[in-house]
Amino acid sequence: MKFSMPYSTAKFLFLALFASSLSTGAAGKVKPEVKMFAPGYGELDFKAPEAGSYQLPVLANAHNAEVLNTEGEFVEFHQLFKGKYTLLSFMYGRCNDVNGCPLTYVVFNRIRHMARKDPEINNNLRFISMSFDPDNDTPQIIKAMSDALQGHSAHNKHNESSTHGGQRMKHHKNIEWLYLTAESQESLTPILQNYNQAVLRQPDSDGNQGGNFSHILRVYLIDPQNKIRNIYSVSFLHPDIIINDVKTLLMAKTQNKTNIQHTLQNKQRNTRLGPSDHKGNYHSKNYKTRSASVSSQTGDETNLLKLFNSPPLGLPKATVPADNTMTADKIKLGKKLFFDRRLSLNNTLSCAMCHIPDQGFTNNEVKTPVGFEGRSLRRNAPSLYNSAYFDKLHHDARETSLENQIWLPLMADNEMAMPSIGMVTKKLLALDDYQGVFEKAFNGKPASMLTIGQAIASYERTLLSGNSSFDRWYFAKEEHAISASAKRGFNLFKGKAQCISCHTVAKDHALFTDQKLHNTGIGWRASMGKTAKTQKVQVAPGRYISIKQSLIKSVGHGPISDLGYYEITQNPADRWKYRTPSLRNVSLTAPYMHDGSLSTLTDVVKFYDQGGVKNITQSPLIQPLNLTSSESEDLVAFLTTLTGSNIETLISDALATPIGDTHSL
Amino acid sequence: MKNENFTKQCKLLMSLLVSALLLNPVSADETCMSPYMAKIIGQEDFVYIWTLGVEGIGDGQDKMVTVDVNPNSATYGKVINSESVGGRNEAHHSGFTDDRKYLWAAGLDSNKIFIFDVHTDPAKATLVKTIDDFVTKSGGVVGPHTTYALPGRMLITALSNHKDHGGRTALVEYTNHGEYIATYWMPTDDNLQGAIKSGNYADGYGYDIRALPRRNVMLTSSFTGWSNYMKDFGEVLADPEAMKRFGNTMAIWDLHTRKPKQILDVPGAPLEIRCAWGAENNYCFTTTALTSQIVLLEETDKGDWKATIVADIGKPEDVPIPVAFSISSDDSMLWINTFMDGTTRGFDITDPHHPKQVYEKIIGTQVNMVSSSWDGKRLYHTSSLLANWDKKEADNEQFFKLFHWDGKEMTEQFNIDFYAEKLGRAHQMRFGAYSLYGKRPVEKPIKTASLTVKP
Repeated sequence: MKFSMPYSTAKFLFLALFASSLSTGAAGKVKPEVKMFAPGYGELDFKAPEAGSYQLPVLANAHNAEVLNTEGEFVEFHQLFKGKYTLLSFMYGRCNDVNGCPLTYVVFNRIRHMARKDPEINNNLRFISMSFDPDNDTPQIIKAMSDALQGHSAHNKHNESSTHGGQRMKHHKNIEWLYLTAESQESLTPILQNYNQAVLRQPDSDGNQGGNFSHILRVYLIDPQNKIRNIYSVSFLHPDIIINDVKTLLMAKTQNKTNIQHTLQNKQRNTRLGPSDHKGNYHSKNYKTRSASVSSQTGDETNLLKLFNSPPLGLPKATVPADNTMTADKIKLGKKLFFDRRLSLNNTLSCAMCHIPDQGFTNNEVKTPVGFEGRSLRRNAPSLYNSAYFDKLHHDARETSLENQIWLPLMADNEMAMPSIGMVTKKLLALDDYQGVFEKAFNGKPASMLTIGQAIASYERTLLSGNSSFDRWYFAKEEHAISASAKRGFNLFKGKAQCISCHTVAKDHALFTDQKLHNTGIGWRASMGKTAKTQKVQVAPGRYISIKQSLIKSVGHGPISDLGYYEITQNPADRWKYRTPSLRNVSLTAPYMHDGSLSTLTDVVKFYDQGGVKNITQSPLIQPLNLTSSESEDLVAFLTTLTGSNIETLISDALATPIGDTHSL
Repeated sequence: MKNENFTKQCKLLMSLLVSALLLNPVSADETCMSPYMAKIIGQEDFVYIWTLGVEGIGDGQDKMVTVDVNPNSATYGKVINSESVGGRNEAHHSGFTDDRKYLWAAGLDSNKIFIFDVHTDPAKATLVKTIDDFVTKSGGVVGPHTTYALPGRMLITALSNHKDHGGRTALVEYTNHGEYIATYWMPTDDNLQGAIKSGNYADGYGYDIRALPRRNVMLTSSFTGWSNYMKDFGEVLADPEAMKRFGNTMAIWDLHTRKPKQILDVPGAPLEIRCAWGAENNYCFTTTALTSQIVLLEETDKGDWKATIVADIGKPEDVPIPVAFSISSDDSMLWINTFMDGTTRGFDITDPHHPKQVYEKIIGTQVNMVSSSWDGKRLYHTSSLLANWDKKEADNEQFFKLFHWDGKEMTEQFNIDFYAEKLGRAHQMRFGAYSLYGKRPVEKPIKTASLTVKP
């Protein structure tokens, strides 16, 4: 740090130290200590941020206080703060900590000196030095300090003196500088509390309370509206910074707020397909991020009822239960519930935390999602696209309707962990933002087990996604809607590979699922297969290490049983059977299979090409395919044509929905 | 003539100031605290341990545990207070306000921030306020982590967000009174916010923060999002998708404006940050959890920053997972704890470009935090990393241990078994002292402490 003390500053500092030597000189065990001169005595080691290039948000209200001026008259902070920006420091006259009160005096004086050539600062800033030692710093003492200050900094011969509100002041070329004190310790205490100013009287050598204080130096920049806009400590109490801060505030007053950069204001609409935290090519050392900011993820609401009533090309008309016809109000309420994290016991999980809209309404970032308090789930979160058509829900088909299905994740202790149906209902009934909403959607009926299920099911039914390039080629006969490779892939799909046996295609629509359960061998392998002694683990882009299985076991839970459809039927023949998922939007819903164990579509094709994993109850439909590498690529090319044309619309609609959090309105 | 007088006065003034400085020996604090912080000299009286509740252990709740660590006290080495906060919040880190009157302790899961009064009765950290709308106020930030003191404010790093529970996140600023001020999102590719992307990565992840006020700089590191830090660690290691979601960056910020200036590639999940204390030592360190390396962050002659891998910690292929570390007050030593092997390692960093391991000791079956007294003679260790990352069964020791370091050997002084005490998982430690607040223990000798602020 370079020292460049102006003449007046040096003289003033000398005065300040001299004044402190008049104190009792008692040295207690606790004393302020310093390591070096604060930056405020010299030049900054860095360039002060340019005025107007940043913002100074309101930190807090600057509390009012009744204090005494140099004439012993009561004055109020808020009266004194009017009309200008105020630098308020707390000090005491006998302060001898070079990086304490004397630092403030020096910095204020330097600003005063610099402001003589800067009318903007000179006219818009004032200083207040408020004593926290009313026992010693009486009005007479602070008047003497003020007079001494004015005299010793007054080589400016143009200063004139007058009174304002009783306190002596200088104006014209000098920034106004007021000295204040408290009437008593009792009146001081709330002021220090309000300004969060820690002051500790130091004991003297006998352990009695001495005349010195330990205090954290704080100087407050207060705007004319009595708002604190910055708090300076030893490190940042510097004229260059303070002057630019004041100028920044003055500029903000006159500028259109949109001209000021702010991260939250620089929003770009982001409804990209796939995760906003893109990890494509992460296996390579040449990986480059393509991240999108959370704050840019906003969207526009769409007419979901219209979408439901007019399903996209390739999808049939969806049916609804007779007692839960679709209405816009139900859909809107269901969507609100779907994104409400307060529907979990500790307000951290909503349906949408595992069925993430921009991740294919599943979770691309983990094989199996994470529940309440991090509890493990054993299966991949299924995508919700086109779930309106499914009569078997969950991977093991344990539910038959969307209305009923929602209660399992709400109540499961490893998912959202709500303790009871009654508690879900009671919680919703108590939330301000749900008042009257159920009644409006359900003809006067309040939140209940029935209406909560019906509302969420109504929203889920609207997530129809079709009119894919495959649909336009296959059903609308647009010859060039898909590539030649994809066409070859479809021929394999329905021919040599026989995928179509389970992922069915009808004459006028295609759900790509037979809605049946099959054992491919994935589940059997997890239960019965042998574990390798080591595991390849990626630790950074393009960097892998081999970890001993024993090490993984030391920090992991034991095996979690998963026997598939057998858990529902108790029939040994149903072991490791899982529901056939739809393939629509399959390129958006990685990782794959009921346990998320396959990362890519190429991995999936490879798995089936090998005939899955042989086991006693494996579906006879699964056989080795003997695909060439070219045929495998064609199959993958076909699968990528199944992405619906309205994905961005559905994501945008989801992003337009406020997420329910504690104290959300 | 006037100039001569001025020069004489300046010389006199400077001699007075230098004399004053010499009369007041340099003092400082535990080595990892905010430079704005009031500081303890000498013997600390208490350690406050932010402890995770465990289902089936005691009341199962997170709690702030106060342990008496003053050897002159009758309750030395004993738990003297435990303040339960309700629920299991994934208690993780805590930090004092700059006046050191309040301790802010965050929950990575519940997103609650618990504010404890530690000045009214330093022997009894008492919950006085809970911030439970952090996510709403911040605009969707999840996983409050480091609570870092700035003048009159707390800057809080976070790990995740409420849209996808991934790693993209933000810094959030509060007043000392617990009022929300602003959110500063970590720079991402679509909005670098003026930051220069020095390498290939701008992941938008967060973890720790440290400030170098003299350079107007703050640094942030990057870990992983809620879906990973809450997930069973064995599952994470076995999940290729999850392993792609760790931070690979550190960001350099303008401290005053809170704007990111530069993003550095630091692959492998850089976690804690420790900056050198020396007035001219414009560098900091981090350690990478997954790649097990010490990384030096230093300012270049051009004024920008660079990251350099300067040493391995243990054998990276054994995945030791360096977690917490501590820097000595004279910038000569790093103490680095590695979780998986329960080991603490001392590195000589007198040449920061070439750290050399000079000591190694197994602390327990697992170890996480290490906190050093300013004089470096006392090193405290705790055991828990994250509720679902800790070891299982017999290796899941949960302890708070004090070791003395004599420059050659580390000797255990006491060991509190946090399971036997029915407390839970011991995580982060912060020091307390009566004398910070001008108080004395009842009929107990006071030990010296002091307030100072390092510019």
